[in-house]
Amino acid sequence: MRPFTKNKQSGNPQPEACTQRSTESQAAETKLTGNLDDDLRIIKERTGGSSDLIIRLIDSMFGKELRIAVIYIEGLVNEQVMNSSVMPSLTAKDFIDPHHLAAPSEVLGMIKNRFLSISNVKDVHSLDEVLSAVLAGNTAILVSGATLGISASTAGGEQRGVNEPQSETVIRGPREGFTENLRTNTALIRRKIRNPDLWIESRKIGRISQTEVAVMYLRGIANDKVVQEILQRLDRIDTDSILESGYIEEFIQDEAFSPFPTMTNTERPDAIAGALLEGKVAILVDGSPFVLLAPVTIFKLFQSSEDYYQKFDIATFLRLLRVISFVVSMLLPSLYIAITTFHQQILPTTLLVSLAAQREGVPFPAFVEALAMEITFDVLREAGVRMPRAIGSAISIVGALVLGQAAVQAGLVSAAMVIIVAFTAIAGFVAPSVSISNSARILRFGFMILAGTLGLFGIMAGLIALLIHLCGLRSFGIPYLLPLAPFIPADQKDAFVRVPWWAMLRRPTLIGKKNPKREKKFQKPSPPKNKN
Amino acid sequence: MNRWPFLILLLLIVPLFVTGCWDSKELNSLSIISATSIDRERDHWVVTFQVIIPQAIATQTGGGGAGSQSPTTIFSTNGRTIREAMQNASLETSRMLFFAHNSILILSEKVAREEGVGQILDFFLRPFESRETMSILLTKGKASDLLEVLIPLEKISGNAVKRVIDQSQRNLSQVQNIKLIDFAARVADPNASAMVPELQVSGNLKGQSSLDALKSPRNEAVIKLGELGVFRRDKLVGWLNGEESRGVAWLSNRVKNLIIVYPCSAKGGERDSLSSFRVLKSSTKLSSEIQGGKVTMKVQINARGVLDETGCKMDLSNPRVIAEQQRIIAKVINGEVVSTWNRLRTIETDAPGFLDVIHREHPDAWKKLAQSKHPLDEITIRPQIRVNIEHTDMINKPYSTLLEQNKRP
Repeated sequence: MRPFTKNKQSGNPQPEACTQRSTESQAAETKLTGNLDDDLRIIKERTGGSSDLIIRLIDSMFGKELRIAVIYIEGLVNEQVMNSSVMPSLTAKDFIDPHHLAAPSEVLGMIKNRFLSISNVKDVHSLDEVLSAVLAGNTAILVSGATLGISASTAGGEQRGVNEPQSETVIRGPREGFTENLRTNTALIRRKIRNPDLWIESRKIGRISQTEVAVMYLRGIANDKVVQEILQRLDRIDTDSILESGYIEEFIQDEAFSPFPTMTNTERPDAIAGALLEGKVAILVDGSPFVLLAPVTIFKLFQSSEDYYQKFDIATFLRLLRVISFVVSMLLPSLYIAITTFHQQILPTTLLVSLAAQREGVPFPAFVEALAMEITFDVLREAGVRMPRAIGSAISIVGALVLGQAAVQAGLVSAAMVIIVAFTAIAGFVAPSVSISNSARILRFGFMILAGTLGLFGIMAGLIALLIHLCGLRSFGIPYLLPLAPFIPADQKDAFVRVPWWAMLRRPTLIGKKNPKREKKFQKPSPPKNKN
Repeated sequence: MNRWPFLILLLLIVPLFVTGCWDSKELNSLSIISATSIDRERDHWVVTFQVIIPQAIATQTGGGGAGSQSPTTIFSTNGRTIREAMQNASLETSRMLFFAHNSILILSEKVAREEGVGQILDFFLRPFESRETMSILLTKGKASDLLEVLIPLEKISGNAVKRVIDQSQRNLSQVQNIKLIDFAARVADPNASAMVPELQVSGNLKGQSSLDALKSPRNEAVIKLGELGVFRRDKLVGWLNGEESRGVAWLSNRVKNLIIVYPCSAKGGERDSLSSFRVLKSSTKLSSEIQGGKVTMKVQINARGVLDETGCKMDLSNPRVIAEQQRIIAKVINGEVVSTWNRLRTIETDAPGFLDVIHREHPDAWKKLAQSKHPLDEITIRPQIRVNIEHTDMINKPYSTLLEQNKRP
């Protein structure tokens, strides 16, 4: 059975033909009958009599025949709102004229328009609407004899509060991060951009999970084609569930088999706000604190939102450092392998001798040694992420002492290799986006194999292949290497370097071209000109 | 999309056909050679290698047994060609010889005089792994002996010798670091002749080639740079002593840092006190003049420097005294230049490249000279030397004047 899909937030008509078709076919069989007992029975059947579905029947003051049913799911609703706003409005007596018998639909209208002190109230016409409203945490109110009901927004319940983001910490900048609640997340963004042009389009994706996905963009700045493309790709998704934004990312990204991410994600509302102002589009998924961002270019992945809060000089330095670190974390072990097994002549003699002394007695070829150490590190890293906090200190002891020092002392691994692996690992953590550091993590092994078989030639061949791949990559129609290939001089202001804010005159050319002007010129601060 | 695998495959295959630094070899399968010497025994080449023992040099690693071990080991092989000798080396080494870090090449006088260096240069210029920057040195005795000498402070003696040359080239312009590639170019140049510094051992060689030698503060023997060997084409023809090699440096405009020792007065005898003049900057200009078929080389030397030391009694604040000193220094330089020229004429080598200058300035005269049997005999030189003492460092008057003034009555 295909459930009803409805465009909840925007007033736009739904472009998706397939959804509309299912709407028509469903509507016929699940319309509210008006017979309260039948309706409630169907609801109970459909939910299998789940214990958290609460149906409260109230005898109305209009007479025994007119009963009111309050349907909600315990835990999804805000109990306080239920008790203070919904229930009193249905049980209060003082406003009722008992001699006047009203029609059921009239009663419903009175409840909706006069008594119910809930701000967000909607009409529901079918059982599916009732169910989806209730499952979203709303409260459905049905009146016997009426073929429509009310859905009152009472969503609430236990939820994680707004905390400091765990994956992207900054020294200077806002400390709030997204939560698992979609509404909280959209609100966090709206608080930063108080403009009616900040539009949200919602979809319900996931045949079973019915996850709400919201696409957020700044109308007039975001490229309409990109927005349309993203919405189309979202509508194309037909799957049973969306439990995290990663599902969406894999469904709609441009290149399925690229090691590089063509969408990025962030936990930081300020990063999303900054991206929206550049003309990008955010995709929020209910239940995930990671908000997707598209289109994205490779340089954006080396940028932290803190770059824009710190002074431009240090921000530029840090950006260059991150690019270098990325290259190091991708290539250092393979360069070590290539140089020590193929090109010993390019090292200074003293360095070569000291490396050779360390290799003395190591039973494995440099390639095997490097591969083993890299895999060991990845094992340690994965173990560190997954294991319970309480045994966290054990991993550092085992990792640092046993695998590092002891392996060197036992002569199984050379000390230089431990240094290489350690530096590679640390360089990998510099990247502000986990997705780009994961690309380096995967590519590293490929380059190591190339270096072990072909030396520097292999590495160069790999780099050329990588470059060709990157040049062909697109993120929602935007070239991945954007300010470099194609080369756009004006956009260099925010690629490797970050110019001061008073010089950031225009938005990125291709992404924000609808409204390129960002700020007034000549805002560079200077001492006041004294005439005397 | 489906072109991708082919493209990657192509990129991987192409390098296979590119010759160069190819083939993987593990670091611990190499014997890194730091110095090579070539001798001649009857009709055989004797090639000796100084191989670095990495464990003995880098201490505190997993290798163990460092400290008591000699940092280098030496083995000699012989063969009818140099390559054959090296091939024979693989009969006795456990590891592959690795030449890329060879920093010096020592040739014995016998090889250089009798066999010439042509074949040696050919051998070292040919393989991709040999370095064109290795320094060439000559020795009067057996070249392989020099590789045995342990040098205090340094572990790899091959590198140490290279550093000795570099260091003395900076501080003493008479010494010149001759790289293989420069040497090859000079040997091939018909108008110039190559010069190679000599490396010698002074002292008891046997004593210094054992590890025990490094345990006492005084060395039994030291390696040092000596005279300058002069080549005509690819053969060694003679040696220039210290003074003459300075003269060559003056003539070939190579003086950058040199101390000139001169007496107090122009006609000073041996017992006279001496002073030192340190050349800071010098330029030599060669130009040729033809007068009545006679070729004259004008050698214009312009030396500027500092008075570094004096034992004379004079008033250095007096410009006339300074001028007098400059004249004496110029005379000393002149003496060096003239005696060097005479020596070069006798061994018939054109080390400063006079013929080159004549070839450029007066091609007709050069043609005539080139046909002559002893072209250098037909050239006379006219040195014009200007010396400028720029300052006298931190003190003006000689210290001895203080002794003079404060003498007790």
